[in-house]
Amino acid sequence: MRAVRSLLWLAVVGGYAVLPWLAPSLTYQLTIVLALGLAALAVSLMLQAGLISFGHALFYAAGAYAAAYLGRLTGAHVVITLLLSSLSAALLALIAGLLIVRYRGIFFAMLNLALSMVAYTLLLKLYNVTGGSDGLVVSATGVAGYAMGPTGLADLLFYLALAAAVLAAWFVRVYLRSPAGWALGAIQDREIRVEYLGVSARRVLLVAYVLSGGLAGLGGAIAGIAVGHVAPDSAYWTTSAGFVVMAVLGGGGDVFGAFAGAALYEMLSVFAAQYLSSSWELLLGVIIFVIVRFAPSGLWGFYDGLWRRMAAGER
Amino acid sequence: MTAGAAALDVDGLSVYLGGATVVRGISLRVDRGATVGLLGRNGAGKTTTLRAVMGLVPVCAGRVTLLGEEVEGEPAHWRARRGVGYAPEDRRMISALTVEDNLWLPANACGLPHQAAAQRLAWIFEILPELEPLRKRWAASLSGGQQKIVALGRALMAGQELLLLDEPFQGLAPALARRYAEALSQLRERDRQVAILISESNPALLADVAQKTYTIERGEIVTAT
Amino acid sequence: MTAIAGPLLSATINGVTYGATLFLVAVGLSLIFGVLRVLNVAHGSFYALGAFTAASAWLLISALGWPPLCIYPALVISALVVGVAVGPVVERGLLRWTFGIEAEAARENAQLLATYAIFLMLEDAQKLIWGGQPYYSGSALRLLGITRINGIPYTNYQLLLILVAVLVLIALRILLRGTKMGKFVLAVAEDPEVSSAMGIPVARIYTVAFTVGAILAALGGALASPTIGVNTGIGSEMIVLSFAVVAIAGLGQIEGAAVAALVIGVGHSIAVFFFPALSSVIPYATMLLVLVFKPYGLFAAAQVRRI
Ligand SMILES: Nc1ncnc2c1ncn2[C@@H]1O[C@H](COP(=O)(O)OP(=O)(O)OP(=O)(O)O)[C@@H](O)[C@H]1O
Ligand SMILES: [Mg+2]
Repeated sequence: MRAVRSLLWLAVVGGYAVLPWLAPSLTYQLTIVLALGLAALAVSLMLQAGLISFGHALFYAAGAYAAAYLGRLTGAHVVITLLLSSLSAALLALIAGLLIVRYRGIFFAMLNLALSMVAYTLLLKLYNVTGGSDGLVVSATGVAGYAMGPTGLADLLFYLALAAAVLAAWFVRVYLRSPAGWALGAIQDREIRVEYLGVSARRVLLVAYVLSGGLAGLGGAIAGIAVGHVAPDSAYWTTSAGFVVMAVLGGGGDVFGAFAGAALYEMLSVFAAQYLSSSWELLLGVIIFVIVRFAPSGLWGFYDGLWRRMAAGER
Repeated sequence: MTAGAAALDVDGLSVYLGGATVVRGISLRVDRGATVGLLGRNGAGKTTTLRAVMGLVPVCAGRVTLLGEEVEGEPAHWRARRGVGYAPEDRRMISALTVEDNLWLPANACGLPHQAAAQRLAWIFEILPELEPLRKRWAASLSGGQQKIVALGRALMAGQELLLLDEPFQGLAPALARRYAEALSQLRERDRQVAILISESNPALLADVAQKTYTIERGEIVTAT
Repeated sequence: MTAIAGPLLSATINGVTYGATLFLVAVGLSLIFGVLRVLNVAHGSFYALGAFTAASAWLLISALGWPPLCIYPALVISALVVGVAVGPVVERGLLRWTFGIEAEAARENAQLLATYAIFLMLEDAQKLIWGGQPYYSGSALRLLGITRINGIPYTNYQLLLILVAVLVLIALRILLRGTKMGKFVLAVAEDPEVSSAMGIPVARIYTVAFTVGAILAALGGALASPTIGVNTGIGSEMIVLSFAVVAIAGLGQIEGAAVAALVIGVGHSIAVFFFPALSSVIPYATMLLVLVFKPYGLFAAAQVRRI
């Protein structure tokens, strides 16, 4: 069964990789899904510890703005831009994390929110540095100074995003199965027991938080380059809430859930924009409510349950 | 209400909590005006039994009959209005209110007319005269022992038919424990027909007050004397 | 010296006015949290619904040719209508199930997400009912005339707003400490289980507290409506501001919320005078600063860490 499941993953990733060939017009959307998926993965990493962040847009925006600044440096290669943007977001997460990992539950959610709102207001008001509400143009150059046409760059970005997503998913999976990952999961309801084992809960959380910030920043940088533009809205609290929704839609249970949640979210938003322009949030609200109420383990839980039932049938 | 029915009749009660059945098919009976003990060691299931009778934990099997009326699924406040009073193990005063307000709460919540409530309060002050001087104090400012007495008084405000007292003697100095036991026996003598179910881990403390004692071990009644 | 004192006084008065609205909304949030232990993300929507309803009431009064002064009772009625129509439905229909979730972390998370879902639904409900365009009912602001303080004109409406907030604070205190229902609410806030064992119908108290909280948010919106452009998005902004107030005060604190709202209101207005670009950072920066030194807010007792 495990082999079948692993093969299925390969098929999913492979299938996703050929989609831009089948439908070139979708490349942009497919890249955005990966970017959002990375941010959702960042949020679901904190969910492992039972912590909801209503402020991860801070790191998403940080990644995108960092990409914008790096783009201004002539010759900044897209791969280097992505790496450095993600690193800047991780650094920001390290600084913020020193404060934030002291809090749990509602306070964790609210402090993240407050920090991101500070960033949002600064992005909006410090016009000379951030371009104010107009935001900044994000540009990136292709491979080693080799100038690529816009479609070439879009394709390159898509495959970079896919590679980044697969690597990030693999890395998070390995991390969650390491002792540090176990400790993270245990913080949710047995924090003091974790500390009896001589592990500092705050340190465990800080590591996760920095990783999480880096992932969200990577997503933000990808999205920024794909859109070619970044605005303060990317740091507003509703953007953060969107990531939480994706993580919950997908089900926090596994790394894949975050990407599935992002895909579903993006599909819903495209669908709703087309057919019910003014009631997209209403639809989204109803869907979130139904999932939280009736299927708290999300898409992933549904999928996993299917396999479990099949495995049980085999026996 | 059926005439002649017991104050409390528990039949085959089981409670499932946090992954385990902590009370398993226990049956017990408290007649009108009787004082009955529920004796058991730590973790035996005394608190859980009392909470199930009060309606604070869901019951997974069995029946609870209060004053001849089966109460399956009725919420705790409904039971309080039928005359059941509960004094929890850890006292749990409402610390934002004064002692007097704590005492008035059950009367107001159960919709007792002011006159009747005032009478009942006077009656409680007669039985527990040490409460009177504490009236205006903030509940949180009392000592643990004083709070136990207030908790008894508060339980009496609603519990005119049945009192559920969870380890009332725990943490009381011997003199205060004697006063508490004396107050309980006064309740009986005044012919108010208040039935009492007391949980306790020390058999010596029950000997003086209870006419009948059930012993509970690992969620089951093992002896009844 | 006087060159500074003039603007400072003016900023303070404006700040107190702003703080008054903020207080009304935040105290509702705090009441709901204090009694139900739910951080209501949809609270900003109640504020917005109050503002929209009040703006419609103003249009209606103008259209019917009623005396303009009717707007003042209409503002209060709008708030009551919104709170009573929305509060019980949301609490009973959409939130009650979460109270049964045993594990604290899972319950809090479910409540955050459920109230966020409700926020999304109510945001769109506003767009469907009132459309996308902003409403202005600023003329209601000037009906009561103006007062000059130090030569600077203030609408009397602004001063009325402060009065209303003070009255609400006093009324809440009297209602909570001096009436039977208020004492039930205090008891349930402190210990729902013991309360029910004393005969208090806890579920009813939850609905009452939630509805009162919703009315207060809607009242904040209705009273603010003449002073702002009522637009979609005011709810999503107000929720974070009232979170900040409540976090500074400590969750569940009522008098504390008044102090925190005042601090934020005045701080914000003073910043508008001296560093306008940074004024909107003030609430969040204050919140961060307070939480760094007092992790549970200025007026709350520390909580015990979960085992
Ligand atoms: N909420 C709960 N979840 C899981 N288990 C519980 C819960 N409450 C009680 N238990 C378990 O049920 C058993 C009985 O508990 P209970 O509190 O009824 O005992 P008790 O006789 O009152 O003990 P004590 O003398 O210590 O008060 C114990 O083993 C306890 O660990
Ligand atoms: Mg016990």
